[in-house]
Amino acid sequence: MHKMRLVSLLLIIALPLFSGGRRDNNESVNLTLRGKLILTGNEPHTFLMLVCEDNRKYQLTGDLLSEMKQAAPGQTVLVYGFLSEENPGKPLTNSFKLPLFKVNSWDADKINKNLLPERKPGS
Amino acid sequence: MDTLSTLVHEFQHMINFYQSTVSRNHNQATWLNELLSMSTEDLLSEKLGVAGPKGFTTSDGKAPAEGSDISEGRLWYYNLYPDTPYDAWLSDSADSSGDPYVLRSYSLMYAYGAYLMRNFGGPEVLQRLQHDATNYSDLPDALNFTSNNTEALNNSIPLFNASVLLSSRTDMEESLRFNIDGWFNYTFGGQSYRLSSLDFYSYVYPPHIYTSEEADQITSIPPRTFYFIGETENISDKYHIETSSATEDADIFVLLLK
Repeated sequence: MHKMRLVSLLLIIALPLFSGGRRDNNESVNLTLRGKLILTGNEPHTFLMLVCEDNRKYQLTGDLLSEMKQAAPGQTVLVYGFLSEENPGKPLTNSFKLPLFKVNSWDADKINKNLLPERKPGS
Repeated sequence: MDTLSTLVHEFQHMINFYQSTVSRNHNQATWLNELLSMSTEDLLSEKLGVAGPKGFTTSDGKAPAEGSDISEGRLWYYNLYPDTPYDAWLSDSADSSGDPYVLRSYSLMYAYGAYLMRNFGGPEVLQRLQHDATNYSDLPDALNFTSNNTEALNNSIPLFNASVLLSSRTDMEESLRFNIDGWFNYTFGGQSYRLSSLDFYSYVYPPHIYTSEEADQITSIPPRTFYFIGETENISDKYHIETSSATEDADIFVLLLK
């Protein structure tokens, strides 16, 4: 009887470790991915895709997307973040899902628009 | 009239979504998808009786004369900014005149699509690209459906740019043609199509060419960009063109005019 109580006590103590204390696997594992950045889709429904060297493809999400769209196309980049279950709700991703990768940081060359000439008369 | 052209444009996106994304599980680059839509506008403009992205209507297929100062469509804007990065899509933000940078990408990609159609097979080009290409590196294989054009397809960007500068000439050989002084005629899928000649000197601005002195002052430039550098704006009489090799990894293409 004493042994049963001890086992029950241990179970009660240990339970949170396997339930409430469980971490979401996808959102907790930080990953670094290397691949080419491709802007795909058509205006205005474009999204950034990372194509890894083994041809795995990810749709990139997160607050840095606007900044990342200025990346020079086709270049190999490193992105840091985690696989996400978040669904942005776009029809394309609903029907033809790529795994979503939420970007925390990245490094790549950006097209510096300050380098683009401006020669429209009157401007 | 612009509404009809816009409908054609969006209809291509709709068909493209099924043919490329759904049927073939492709993720086509945005610049190529938009190129296809503008090329479709160009292809159907004669049937619809609209100017389309070339900016003029014609009954005989001839390009308007040099100095016509056309300021409609996409090509007058392309002429201002031929040095726009290839296969990029300049979304977001605008320049100091308020023009979104994406207008430069639209204009460049229409000009390039107009070149591909007129030199490599008209409407069949659109079908091949829609079905078989997702990015620039796929173009040579996707368009290699006629004989003896492999070399030209591997060098399509320099040849396209050379064709722009030679577009006032009507006697250019294949792969350098924008202007044959009449219609480019095609039959595809049991339908006939006509594409008009184009002369980039018909527009209100000629293609922008850097002088050597201007080029020397360029210290940093965006990747995947094509520059015209020369001493003359019009090379219709004599020309000699040197280009860098055009590979997928080449960062900068330079067309030297002498």
